[in-house]
Amino acid sequence: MRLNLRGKILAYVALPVVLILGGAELYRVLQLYDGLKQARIRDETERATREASELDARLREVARIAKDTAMFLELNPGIERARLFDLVRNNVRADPLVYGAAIAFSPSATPDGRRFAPYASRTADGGLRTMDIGSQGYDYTAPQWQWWHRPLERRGGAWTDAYLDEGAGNIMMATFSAPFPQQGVPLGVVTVDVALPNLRKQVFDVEAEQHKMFVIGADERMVFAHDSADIGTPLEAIAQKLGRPDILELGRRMLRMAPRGAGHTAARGWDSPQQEEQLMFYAQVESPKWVLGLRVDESAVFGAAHAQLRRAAFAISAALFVIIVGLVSVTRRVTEPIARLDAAARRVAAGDMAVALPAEGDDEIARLSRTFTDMARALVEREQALVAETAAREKIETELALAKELQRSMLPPSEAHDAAFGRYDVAAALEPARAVGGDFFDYVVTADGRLIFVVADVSDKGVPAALFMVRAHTLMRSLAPRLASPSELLAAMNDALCADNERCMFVTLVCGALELASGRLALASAGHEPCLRVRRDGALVWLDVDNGPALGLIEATPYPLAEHRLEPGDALILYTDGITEAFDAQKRAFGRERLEAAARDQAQAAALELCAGVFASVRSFVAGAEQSDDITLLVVRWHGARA
Amino acid sequence: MSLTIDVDASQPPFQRLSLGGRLDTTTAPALEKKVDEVLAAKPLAVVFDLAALEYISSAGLRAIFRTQKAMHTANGEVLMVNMQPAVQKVFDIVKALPLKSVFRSIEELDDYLDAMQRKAREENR
Repeated sequence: MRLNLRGKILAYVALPVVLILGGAELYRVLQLYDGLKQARIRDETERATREASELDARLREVARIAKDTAMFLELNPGIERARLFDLVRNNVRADPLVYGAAIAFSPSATPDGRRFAPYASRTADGGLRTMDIGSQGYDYTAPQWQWWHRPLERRGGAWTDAYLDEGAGNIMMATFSAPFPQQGVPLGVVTVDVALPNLRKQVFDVEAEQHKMFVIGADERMVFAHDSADIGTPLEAIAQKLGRPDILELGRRMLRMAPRGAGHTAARGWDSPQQEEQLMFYAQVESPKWVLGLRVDESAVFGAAHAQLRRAAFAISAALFVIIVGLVSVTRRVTEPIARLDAAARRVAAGDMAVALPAEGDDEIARLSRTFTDMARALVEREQALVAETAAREKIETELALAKELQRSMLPPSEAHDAAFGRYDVAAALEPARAVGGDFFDYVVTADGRLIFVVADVSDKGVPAALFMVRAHTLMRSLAPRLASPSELLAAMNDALCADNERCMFVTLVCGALELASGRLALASAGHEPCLRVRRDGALVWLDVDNGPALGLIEATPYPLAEHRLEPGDALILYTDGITEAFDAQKRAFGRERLEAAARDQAQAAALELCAGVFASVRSFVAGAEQSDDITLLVVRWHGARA
Repeated sequence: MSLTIDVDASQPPFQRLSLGGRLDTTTAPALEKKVDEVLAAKPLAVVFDLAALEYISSAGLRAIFRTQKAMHTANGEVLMVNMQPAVQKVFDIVKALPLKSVFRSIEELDDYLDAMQRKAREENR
């Protein structure tokens, strides 16, 4: 993933901060939430325990009535039967929770050997009725009557499971019965009945809509239920009715767990259309070994915790949002100038120099912005200067090009021959080291049949040399036709050039005059390189000339004349020191030997080829090294009086 | 390679310039500038010691001749010593140097300078 600077700051700094901060805060809130939940569970479990112990306490009070009566009977064995009716009536009146009370004798313990059981119970109008249930065909010694069998089996008081009292009142009840013995032999039991539906108003005054209370007996029957119709119903039947087998399991689990202490379990609810998840808090009711349960909707248990969690989550989100917004805006403030710099740099790179970056303050970026703006401005100035400089240079170059053209036009053609008689041909080459130079050559045929030719080299090179060359050349042109010999020409030129020559510019020059009819050659040299005579057979001769000083230095100097005679076919090579002192890349000079070799190669060629051959030889020797001096070459070939 | 110029003015009426390297178009202006400074001292003679001069072009020659011309105007002399063969050849070709101004060794030159000083003293007497 490619990130810009701002993205990097956000990703590598802001994101971890937000994650760590958010994570820590979230962990703290979840801990808090968990604590709250645990506290609520503890509260509800305590409530269930409290309810269970209250119920137990009431049941013990009721059981105490039966136990006290049993004690009394044990101590007063010969009590009259009529007193027994009083006793049971008193027992019913003793506690509003008592619905009925009986003293049932074992048939074997009665004088007549028949069942006898005085019984009192409450009537619907609030009164009491009394009867002997034994005489009415109620065989309480039958196996189904737990209130008779259970205390005798256990040799102590015991609670029955919930059962329907068919004989008296048709109501679901549970009975506590206490045996009373005579000399170790049980005579009968004293009972107190508790009508289970009455538990609601007698015990569970706290039952609220949110806390649905129920009590399960050890026989898995409902001892008490929120819905009175379910009282006495086996759990299995309820589970079947609701199509919820898990309810039976739930009850069994609670029965199993409760003796080890109060606790809670969870199940889907069944008496609301939403069937919300419910928590079941349970606790043991000690004396009858029942389990008391409280069914509470999960939302009711954890509602407050949930609300607190939501508030905390909102607070965290709000805080993180504020942090993120802050970071985003701060990074923007920091990176915006950099982005502007970036954009400006691109514009400058694309050639748009008109950039001015706003730079407030004195931080690094502001300084960079200012530097950048200054740099762009300097660049503009530099560019303008460069343009101006280039224009100036172009102007000079144009002028130099014009000057070069002009200088070249002053010289005769680089090739000529005797069109009428074919007695000679001439070829020349000139290559200035710079645009213009100080070398020149010239040739002219005079009226008296002489070919006068000149090669000259002005000291130095470039423009000063070129200007002096023009002076010398013009002088030579005007003087040559009027003067009889090369000596006279050189002397006259020297005198003229010595005048007004403060800078001591000078010209070396060699001048020849060839009588075309005879081949007689007159030569004079002013400090110039010697001439090379190339015979047709390839023999080379350096022509002796008694050199005079270069022109322009010493006034009134004589220039000796040397006389030679050419054979038909002989060629003369005149050159400037640009040829012999042409240097290659290793600073070696071309030299006279190489000149001789090049000349020998082209000994029989026409002047043009000989000239071109020598010139090409120099070129290939130099091979790209910088040309240090003007190069001039002049070749004259005499073919004889008549070709 | 460039030109080196060492000026020795320890013998006041004479100025010695020892040249080394190449005296050509590019280096000649530097010599001319140095010569102008030297001439300001109005010496009796300017001596060019060419022992270390390897190459001279026509631009270099011109700078020497210019010095010579200026000294002649002031009745002074330009003297040369220790000229190397390659440089000697260039001077020979141009042929513009009075033979008496070139010395083969420092001893010859010093003798000449002594004579010159004696002559100057006698004239002043």
